[in-house]
Amino acid sequence: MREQYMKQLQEALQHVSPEIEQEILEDFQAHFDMGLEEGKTEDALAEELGDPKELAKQLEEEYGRFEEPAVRDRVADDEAHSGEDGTYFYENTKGEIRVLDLDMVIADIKIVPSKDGVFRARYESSVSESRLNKRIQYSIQVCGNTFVAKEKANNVPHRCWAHLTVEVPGVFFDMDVKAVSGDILATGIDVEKRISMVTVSGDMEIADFSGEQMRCKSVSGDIQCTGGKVVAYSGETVSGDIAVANLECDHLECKSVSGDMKFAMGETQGMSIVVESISGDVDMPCKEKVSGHFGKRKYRSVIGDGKGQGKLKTVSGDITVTE
Amino acid sequence: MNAQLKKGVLELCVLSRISRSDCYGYELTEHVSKEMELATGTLYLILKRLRDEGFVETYLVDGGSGPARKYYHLTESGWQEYRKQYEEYMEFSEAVKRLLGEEKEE
Repeated sequence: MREQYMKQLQEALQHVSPEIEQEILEDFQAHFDMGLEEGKTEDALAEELGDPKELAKQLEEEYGRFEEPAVRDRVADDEAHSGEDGTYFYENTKGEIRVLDLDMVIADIKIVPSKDGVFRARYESSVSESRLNKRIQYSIQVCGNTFVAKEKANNVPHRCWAHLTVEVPGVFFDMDVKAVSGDILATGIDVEKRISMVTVSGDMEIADFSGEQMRCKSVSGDIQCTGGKVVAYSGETVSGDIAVANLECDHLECKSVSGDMKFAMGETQGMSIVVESISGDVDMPCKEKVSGHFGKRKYRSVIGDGKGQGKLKTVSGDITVTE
Repeated sequence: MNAQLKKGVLELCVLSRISRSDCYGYELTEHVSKEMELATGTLYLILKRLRDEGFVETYLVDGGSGPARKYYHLTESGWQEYRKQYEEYMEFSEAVKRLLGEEKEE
């Protein structure tokens, strides 16, 4: 019954984009696994999950129909060129692309505004290695208004490199950028909703950005954000340092384990800041100690008009706030 | 129960459960379906929507002998959204109560 249900679901999801389809199938499989472990029967689980066609219909209503299944594996020939030298170039002059989804491993990513309103993505890698060993694989998909680029890299020696440069026209809707060891450099990006930048060890440097939400996350990479305007900003690292300057936002939340944090508030924003630190130093103007019991110290400070709300948390990193 | 009513409030119920503590998909569906009859599949759609909007984040936890579990966690903006929907719902349900109360008195 489970297999039958999942097959029905997969069929019902054929008009939904492949990413969404995969996400839903994974969730449902996990639900079956869990339910069976708890002693429920496959039939009962299939029934409680609900009619696959109805669910697919709701997804189509919300995310739109994925119109040409054939586009899945190729992009229109006049828009994408893959050079013999391992460069991949994609261009969209129709102004359709509004969502960016990048998933890189070693490639350094650079995002800049497009001067002529044309969306471009250029990927280059040190080809001889990738061709011989097929250790680096780059693929793109264009689904509706979303541009997706994925890089797969296995056991790539350090001398291999890759660069992805994306030119973004006008105001984008959403950006989801991931890199493992590659660095991210972005300037002048305007988004309606959300910018999300995640790396493992790569550094990120983002300047002059605007949107509703900005989220920067890294394990050991350093995060540098300057001159942005968002409603909510969140920065998170384990050992990487966070440096934020001239940021205008209503809600700020930054966490680190051992990474240091530096905030230069600038003239644009007043903030009420709460800082929690276990063993790091805290250097903040007008700081007042809220609590200091064993293990955790908490400080509060009001800077400027104190309109924004900031929360900084660290274990052993040093935190410096300047006006 | 009226499907429209249910739909509007489900997101709020999901946000509320996650706000109390991180939980995985199945845990959440069990929690909600205990109080309300519904196709639990729609809860996964709600979770996906919340994730796309940045209101929840997910992380995997090693399952030991079993499969890895995907946990849901409420983000800072998720908290804002939860508060907003909660207040909206409270206002709404008070208004309805008043309207129903008034009609009864007549």
